[in-house]
Amino acid sequence: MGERNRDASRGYYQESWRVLKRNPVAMVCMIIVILLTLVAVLAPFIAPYDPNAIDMPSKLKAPCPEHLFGCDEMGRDILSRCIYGCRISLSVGLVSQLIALVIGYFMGVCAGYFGGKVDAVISFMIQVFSSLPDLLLAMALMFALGRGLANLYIALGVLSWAKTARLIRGTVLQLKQKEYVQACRIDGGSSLRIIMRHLLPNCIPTLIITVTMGIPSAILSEASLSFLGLGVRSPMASWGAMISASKMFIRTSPFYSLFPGFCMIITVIAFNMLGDGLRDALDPKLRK
Amino acid sequence: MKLFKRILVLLTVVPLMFTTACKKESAPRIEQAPREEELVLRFGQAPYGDTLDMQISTGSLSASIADEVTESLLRFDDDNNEEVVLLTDFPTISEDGTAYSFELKPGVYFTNGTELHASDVKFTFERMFTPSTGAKSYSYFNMIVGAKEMLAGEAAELAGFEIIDDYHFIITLEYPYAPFIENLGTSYANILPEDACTAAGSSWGIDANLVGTGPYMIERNDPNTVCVLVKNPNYHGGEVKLDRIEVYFYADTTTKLLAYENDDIDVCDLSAAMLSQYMDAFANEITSYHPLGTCFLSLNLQNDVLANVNVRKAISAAINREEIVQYVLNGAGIPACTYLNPAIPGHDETYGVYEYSIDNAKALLAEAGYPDGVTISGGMVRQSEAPIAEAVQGYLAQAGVNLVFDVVDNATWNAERAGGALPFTFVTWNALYADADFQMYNYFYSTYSAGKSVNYNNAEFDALMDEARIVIDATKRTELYQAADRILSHDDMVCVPLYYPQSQFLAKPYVTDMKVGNLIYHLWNVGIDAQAKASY
Amino acid sequence: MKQYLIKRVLLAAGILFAISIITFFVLNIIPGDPVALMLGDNADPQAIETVRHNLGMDKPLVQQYLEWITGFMTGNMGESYFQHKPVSSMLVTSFGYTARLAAVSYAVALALGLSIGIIAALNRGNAIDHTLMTLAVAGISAPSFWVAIVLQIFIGLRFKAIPISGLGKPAAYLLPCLSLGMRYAASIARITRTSMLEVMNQDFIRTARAKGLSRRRTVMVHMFRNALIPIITVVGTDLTTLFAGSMLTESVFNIPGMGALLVDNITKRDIPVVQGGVMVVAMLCVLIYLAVDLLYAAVDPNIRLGGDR
Repeated sequence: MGERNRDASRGYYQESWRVLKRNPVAMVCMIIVILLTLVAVLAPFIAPYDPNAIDMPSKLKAPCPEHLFGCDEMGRDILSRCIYGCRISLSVGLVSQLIALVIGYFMGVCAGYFGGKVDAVISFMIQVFSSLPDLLLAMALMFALGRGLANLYIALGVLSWAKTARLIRGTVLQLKQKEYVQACRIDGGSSLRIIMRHLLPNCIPTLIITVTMGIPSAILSEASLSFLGLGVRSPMASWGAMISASKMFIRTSPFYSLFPGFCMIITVIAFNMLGDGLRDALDPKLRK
Repeated sequence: MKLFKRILVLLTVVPLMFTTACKKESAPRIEQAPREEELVLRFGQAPYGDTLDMQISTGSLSASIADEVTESLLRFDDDNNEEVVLLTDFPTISEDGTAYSFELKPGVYFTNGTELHASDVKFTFERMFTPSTGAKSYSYFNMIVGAKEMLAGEAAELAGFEIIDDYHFIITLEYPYAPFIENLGTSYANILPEDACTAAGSSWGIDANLVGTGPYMIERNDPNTVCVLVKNPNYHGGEVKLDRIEVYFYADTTTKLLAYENDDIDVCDLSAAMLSQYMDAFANEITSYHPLGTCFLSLNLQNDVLANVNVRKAISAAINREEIVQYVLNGAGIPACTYLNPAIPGHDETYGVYEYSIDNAKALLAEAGYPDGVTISGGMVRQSEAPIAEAVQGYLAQAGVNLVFDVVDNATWNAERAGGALPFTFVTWNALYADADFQMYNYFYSTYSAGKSVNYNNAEFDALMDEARIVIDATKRTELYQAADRILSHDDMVCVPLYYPQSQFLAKPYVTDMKVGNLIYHLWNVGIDAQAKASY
Repeated sequence: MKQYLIKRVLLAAGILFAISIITFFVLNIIPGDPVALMLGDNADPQAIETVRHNLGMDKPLVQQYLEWITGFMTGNMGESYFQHKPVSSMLVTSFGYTARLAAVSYAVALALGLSIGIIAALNRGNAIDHTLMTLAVAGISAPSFWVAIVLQIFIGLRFKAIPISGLGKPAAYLLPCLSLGMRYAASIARITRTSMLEVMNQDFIRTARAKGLSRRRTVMVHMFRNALIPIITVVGTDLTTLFAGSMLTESVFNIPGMGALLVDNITKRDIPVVQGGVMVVAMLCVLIYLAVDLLYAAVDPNIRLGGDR
């Protein structure tokens, strides 16, 4: 355990927040993340056009006052599509990581808490899943489930549960040695109670960090899947789908590729750096 | 800092050495420096898939290569007119139109040294009808007497094929079938050498396993990277101009075109979607032509919503075909006015382009009982048709029709469509030659339309199809097909024709006589102007 | 040590076995029928049955799997449905491309990543550090296929000597290896910097410096050696993703490697090829993880073998 008391308590989070506030890079990234979230939530109010409304005569129109980011190959407003794409990308990141979190936490806690055979089986599963190449597994799942947003959530969630589970298992193994957990066990506290009341709060820092760090890789995986033609359904806009559609027009209309590309890079950087900051703040020792 | 420079140098040098070491052992080098005087054409196209055996493959990508190596008895020239290749003349046809007598050109040799005999022709057709071959295109020839028995596994020999001597043979049909000679001119009837083909077994057509009478022969072939064709020194049709043709395979269109720009290749096709990127800067290097196809929205008449003819007509009215051609295809196409392509006899010129009117579409929808719009879901589209499908989806949304589809891979698409329950899809259906039978019968005739997920069953239409097949008189056939097309794409609106595609290719200025037939490249006349290339 | 080794190898075998089962059943339940693709639209049911029988697809799945796994154990991975070639020969060809691409890319990544990381660590907190690290984060954050396309257009087209695609000429390695290597260089740089900083603050480095050891010796011997463990971990993980993740780069640069092979054949449902390909990639991953674990043991004797980590 670290030098500071890592047992979750109000003091611990206050202390972490203070550390985080002192990290300017992390704070800037946090503001960007909040802004992006706002854009995603308020998309219908801030998007200047219907993102799916085609207008062929405006095909590949360069950025201009009416269309700040220009128009795509069907004359759809790229800014509006980027705004709605933010929704898709963030939700893909968040939902898939929440799915991973639920599965990963449950598996990790069971493995760490019960130990023995349960641990052996779950650890084995974790190893199996981490030995399968990510993108290939996601592809197979998308083939099996079919395209679509919900399936994307599931595929990318299943992809990353193993990492969460491994971290949680490690944390729980350490927590199990703590006196109050031991005491509760001796008192005959039910396993569920211990898992939910004592272990969960102490796992939260780990979970926050894995989710924050998992979101950018989920966003990038979505882009890769879109590039392979396995992303969201048309006419839905996702940054990945836009980047791969723009590939054909990059020579004459580079803006089409650059705007969603930059959106994605900024988002991914923001989450990555925020994740770094959170890790430093929440647990300086929780490193690979 | 000196130290760190050293570290840096070390860190850069070691991998570099490793890199060079790696490169040295890098196995088959793709580019082998050709002898200086050699004339080589570098042709870029998408990978053809698995096989050059045209009994198994149906793709024009395979055919462009296979047709340089293997030849059919007759073939279509650059203008889609049929000419004899391995025959002394067109076959003579008996009075009743069922017996065809052929005479082979003497002295034609396969590149493995054996002479072409009637027995090879017979072998070719028998192989096609043997079930274990898995031939796809037998249906263009299964009116030959005995074909059905062979396909059912009841016979090992083709009864309707009579060998007179090494150079003469007679093919007998069950019934008069007007387009038979045309079908013989397709790549599907490429003549194979019996001994070599038998010896190769199931690996015939795979990699370099293809031998024929054609102007080129395969030196080596890796279907993922490059196929090298070399001149056939004993070609029966005279000497060709090139020493080698290297066909490079590019799975990604963008990459292929960048490679062309970078002078990595001399010739490649240019898709309509990419046209806008190249039409200004490369105007002098683009050649365009119209294949004999139609792109249409294929509808399933058993779908609850699509069963209503007014819905189908509403869909048609909601699509702005002129805009699609202008913007999605960059002008590479002709907006459709009926199902049959303008170059196919039976195309009725009196129709104008289908009228685009959102109001009409809405009225028709209301009449069909959907005043507030309707959702049609479950469609599947292949990657190749995805851009057009997305555009149509955009237009239909304006009329209140919500078209929901998935972009799927070929395996899924094939299986779903063959199952007969796919609600709708987009298809570009190309005729092999200018005849409506191919274009209509194989897709919409009642017994075939279930396998295309159309489920069209109209006795009047079927009767017209049947009649047109056996009528030899060209004018009469044209009239029959005009009548059939009116039912198909106007009265019943079974499919929604969108446009007649235009294709184009890019060729460097030093490439001479680069020709393409109906989507299949004809490389037998192509040459390279060495001087022009040197000064390029 | 010996016991640990045996245990570890057995576990690796078990993982591979599990992966083979998962892959086999997933591949067989995804929709789409290779035979329908093979025979076309107008195939009659009889012909479909015959072909299915010839390919052994009419047997129960479990039996098919058992036959496959026994074949696999004896080195026979079956034959491609479509190309009628042994799967092993197809894999060897494709793997050759991927291995060459991966090796050169990773060499580039290591060279760039380690040097950037070390320089940044030694310049901790100043402008050099910030610039390098921002570049590194950007490197991780850009989709690799996007970088690849940008490189093709802005470098490839400028210099005619650099081919746009393939791995035919030595110069052709430049673009794909740069675009693939950049991503890994970024993560290597980040982890190198972090580990170096951590180690730098530890007592023994200070002691070493205080003892009068030259800066060079301190950096090279002590710091680097101790920072090696996290670096090995990252390198291990990277190598595993490199083989599978080169898929997109291969597609952009038209390199017929493992990625292309798998994508191509999964769309055709050429199951034996995909199954074999996944097994090869998984085998590599498992072997790399095994190697990483053993390296840990070698580099840091403090790590308890066989215990919970």
